[in-house]
Amino acid sequence: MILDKTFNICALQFLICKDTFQLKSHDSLTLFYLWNLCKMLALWTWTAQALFIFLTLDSVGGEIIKPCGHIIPESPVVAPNTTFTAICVLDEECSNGQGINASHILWKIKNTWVPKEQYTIINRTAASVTFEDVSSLGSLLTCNILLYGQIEQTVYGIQIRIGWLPEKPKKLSCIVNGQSNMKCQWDPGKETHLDTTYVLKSKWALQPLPDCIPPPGVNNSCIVDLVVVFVNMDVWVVATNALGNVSSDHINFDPIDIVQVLPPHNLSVTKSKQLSSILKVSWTNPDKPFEALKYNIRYRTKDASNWTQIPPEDTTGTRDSFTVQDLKPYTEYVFSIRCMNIEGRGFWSDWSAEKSGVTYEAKPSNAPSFWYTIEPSQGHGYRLVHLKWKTLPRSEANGRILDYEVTLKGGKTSHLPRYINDTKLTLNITDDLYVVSLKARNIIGSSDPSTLTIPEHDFKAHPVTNLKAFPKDNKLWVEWTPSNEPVNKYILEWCVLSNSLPCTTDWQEETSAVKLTFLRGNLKESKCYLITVIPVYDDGPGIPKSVKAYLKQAPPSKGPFVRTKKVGKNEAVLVWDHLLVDDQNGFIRNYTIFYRTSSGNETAVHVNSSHTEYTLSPLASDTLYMVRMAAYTDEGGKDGPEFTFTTPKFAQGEIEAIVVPVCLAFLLTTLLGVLFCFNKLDLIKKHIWPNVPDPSKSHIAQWSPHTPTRHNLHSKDQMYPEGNFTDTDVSVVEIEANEKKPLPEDLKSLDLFKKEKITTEGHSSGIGGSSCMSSSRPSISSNDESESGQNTSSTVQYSTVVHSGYRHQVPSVQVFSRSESTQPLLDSEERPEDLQITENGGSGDGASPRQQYFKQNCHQDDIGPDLSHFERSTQVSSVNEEDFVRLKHQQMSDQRSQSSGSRQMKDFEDISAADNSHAGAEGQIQRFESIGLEAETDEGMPKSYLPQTVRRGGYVPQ
Amino acid sequence: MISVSPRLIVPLPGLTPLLRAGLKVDLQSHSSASSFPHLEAKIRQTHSLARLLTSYAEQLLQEYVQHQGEPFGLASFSPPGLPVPGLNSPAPTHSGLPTLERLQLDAAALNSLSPLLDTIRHLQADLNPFARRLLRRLEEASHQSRALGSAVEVVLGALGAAPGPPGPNPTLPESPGVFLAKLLGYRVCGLYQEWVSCTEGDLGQLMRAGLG
Repeated sequence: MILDKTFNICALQFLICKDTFQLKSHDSLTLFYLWNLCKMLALWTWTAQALFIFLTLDSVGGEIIKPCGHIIPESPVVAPNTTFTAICVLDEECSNGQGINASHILWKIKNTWVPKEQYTIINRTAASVTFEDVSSLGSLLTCNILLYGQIEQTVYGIQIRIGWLPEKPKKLSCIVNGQSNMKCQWDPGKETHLDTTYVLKSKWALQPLPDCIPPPGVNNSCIVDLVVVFVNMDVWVVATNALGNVSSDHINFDPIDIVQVLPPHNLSVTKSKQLSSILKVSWTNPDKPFEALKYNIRYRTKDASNWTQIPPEDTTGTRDSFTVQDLKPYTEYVFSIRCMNIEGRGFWSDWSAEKSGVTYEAKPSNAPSFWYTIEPSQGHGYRLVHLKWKTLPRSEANGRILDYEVTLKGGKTSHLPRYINDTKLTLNITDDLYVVSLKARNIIGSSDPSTLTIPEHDFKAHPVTNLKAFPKDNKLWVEWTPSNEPVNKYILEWCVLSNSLPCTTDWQEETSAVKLTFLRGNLKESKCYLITVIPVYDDGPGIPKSVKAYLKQAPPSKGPFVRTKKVGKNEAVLVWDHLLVDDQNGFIRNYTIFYRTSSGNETAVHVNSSHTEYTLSPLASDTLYMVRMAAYTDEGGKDGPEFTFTTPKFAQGEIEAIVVPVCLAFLLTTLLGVLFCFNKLDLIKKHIWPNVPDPSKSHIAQWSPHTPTRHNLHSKDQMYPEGNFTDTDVSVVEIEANEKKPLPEDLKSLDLFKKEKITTEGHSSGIGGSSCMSSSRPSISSNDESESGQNTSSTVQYSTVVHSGYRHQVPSVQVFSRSESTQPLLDSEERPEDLQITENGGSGDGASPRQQYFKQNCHQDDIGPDLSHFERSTQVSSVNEEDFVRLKHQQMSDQRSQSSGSRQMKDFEDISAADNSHAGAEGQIQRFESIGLEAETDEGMPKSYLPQTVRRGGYVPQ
Repeated sequence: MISVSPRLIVPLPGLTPLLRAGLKVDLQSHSSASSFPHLEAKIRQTHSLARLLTSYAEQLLQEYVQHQGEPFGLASFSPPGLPVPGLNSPAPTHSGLPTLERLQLDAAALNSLSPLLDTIRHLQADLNPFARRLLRRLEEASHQSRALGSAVEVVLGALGAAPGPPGPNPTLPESPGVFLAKLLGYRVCGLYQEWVSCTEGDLGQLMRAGLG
């Protein structure tokens, strides 16, 4: 008692301590240590108090020192929403000694003072406090007194527990498992928040039975160990806690009525060799209490999930075996049994453990599916036939198939039966008609024969019509319309179409009545099946018919790869390949082309699945397009890779359409210009190329006594022995020109012009076109000089080159070329050595061809010294058309003049005259200029144009 | 699992045959005529229990013999008629007694057998601690003996007969030897079989008389 009170005080101190430190409930570790400390303190306090009690006994009364008061009740447990009253009773001695009474009592909940309105002073030493609602009393309730000086002193404290009275247990029910074990359950109701015990009580009519106490943590069930059936018992539940106890309603029953007997055990299944359709099931019945039982017997084949139950009326009455009939031969059956009281009292037992047995064998009930493939005739009148058949399902084999009997009839020879363990056989037979029969054999007997007719090799029969295949219920169904001919059976063949794998055929057989069936194979989704239906007639098989189908389609695994075939300014031709069948995963229903610019919206175009090309239009020119393509099956689509192309800025031929007219216009303009120039040639010539008087026609030439006769030309050696100009008067104008100095612009232009003429020089006939040397007389003359020269009669200024600058340009070097020859320049033309010598003085590559050229020409002179100058001129004639024409004319005239040398001169003069009037001046001047310039530039030293009357190096002033 | 309520029994032909058999039925204890079928059902129920316990008693005796070793179980084994103070086998004259009296004797014997079977179980727990099924059967037999005695008393009460004077408490030697303990157990199991079988017969006779 003292220890309890001490501990209570300690608990009070603990709570105060906890409040002081403001500890919260979740500071569990701290609380734990504090509580242990408190217990230790309590122990010490009790020890100290005990010691104090024993050491400080009241000398007067000899009584133990007591607390200054206490609270009634000591450990209250109250239900919510109830009124609670606590009384604090002060100790008399304490009250008298300290001069306090009940009016000094103050109540406190935790740290909160209870209002004095709730106080009631019962007497001088007792005061109570009443709470209308105890829900706030979860904390410590303390009784305190206020001493002198407002000193607060706690007298006592109690901890109030709040909870509910247990609810009345409901829904009590029991069941007896087996013989003596009974389990009862009930609904305990709501949580009481107090320690509540549940006890299952029972009794017989006159004797109480031991209580059943649920194991710890269980408040809603209990298992009664010993139960006796055939005697009624009362059962009820009592729930008890600090607030009281509540009893459930009593139930009275005979346990035999709630017995769930144990299931039959030790099942065994035996077969009968006499009857392949029966199995006998035996078992051991459960022990008492029931003497009479009834049963449920169920069975199924091993692979089935549904049970078949023996009619209950056949299994009424206690028994330990039952023979099940109408079973399939050589089939494994599974059995299970349960039982209950025959009168229906109690419950059915659980189903027993399953036990299986196999019925005895019987002869095969069906013939095997039988088919063949045939290889084309190997020649020599034989062919290979591959017979194949399917193993009978267990339900039809009715036993273990030992072998197959194959019998062949037909041909010219007799055949013995063959016994095959395999399911295929290859025969080499003739092209005659054969009948093959097949039987499956087991230990009991043979099946009915399955017969096939192998017709002659050219046999043909009607096919089925309206063949179609479709998926349904996760199966691939095939439907067809039979032909009008009577059919024995149908053969369905199928294989997976693949790009990578061969089409491995599977097959099945259907009876003649079947027009709709499904493929009994391990079909896969997203695979294209090629299904073939072959009707089999008496005479042989009909023509196969095929159809493609999918068990289940899926979106393609790849999209089509689109690319451009042709890209135009406003259109693009797209092409793609059909997807491989392995990638299709279904029937491609359509394609969709998506195309867009880099910044524009995407446009979709739907294309029929049969197409492999499509023209996108209109497109913007010079624009980058991104295009991709999706292929769609019934289950969805798949995009292919994106392809990018750019439309050109111009359409094909557009540039040509612009350039060609422009060129044509330019050419036309040029042509018109040329025509114009030709029409205005004289005018142009007058302004650009004024006529240069032909020295040969000069009057001086006519009257000069030194004028050599034209036809009296000498050979090179004769004309220029030792390279000296002895027979020619040439006035030389020394042109000081620094070869390092560039030519003046006008000379440059002339130089260019000369270069152009170089190519034609060798072919030109020169002035008059009479001599190979006709172009070797260069001459540069100013227009003015030439104009003036035309009128010179006594002293002909053949040419004057005055570097006065072209169009006010000042030449660096003045070059003069004067001719005061009293002979026609053609004299010097007739002496190519002049030029040869001149050119020999120079060096450079440009000289060699010219030398060769001259040499050739002159060589010809050597070869044909009798040839006239005109003939020689033809050999060096220019490709110039005019010259060519002229030379042709000359040749013709030469031919005519072969016989008459006297006419040559005349002809020459005529031609020269024509040249003068036509292009002679032009051609001559051009040739002269070019050669002259060439002499300057190529030889690198000033060329001298020697007047025929002046020795070389001399100079005759005008 | 179902909630159990008092079972409705199909009314039997009535108590007239019982009355014809000379039984004094305490009609005061049955407030309504519906109690008569209940009485017959009670007799039938108790008879079923007696029959069930008879079979169990046979199994118990066999089980007991199996666990005692030789000479128990031998065909030539003839144990001495060891007396159990306060409890004897049904007397040969038992069948000649009036029905209610026989039932009273049955109830008294069954009630006495229950503690005897408990004692035997304790003895066997020392001798054959691993014979769980035997121990279990002994425990069940004690409980069932008490149940049957109580059920017979209920029938007696329903028939207006007093339970009968309680007989002297049977006692067994406090520390018998092993063989003696085995013999005592053999004897008690035999007595149990005899009395439940006797009770079955008495109740059967009562039931036949009532249904006749």
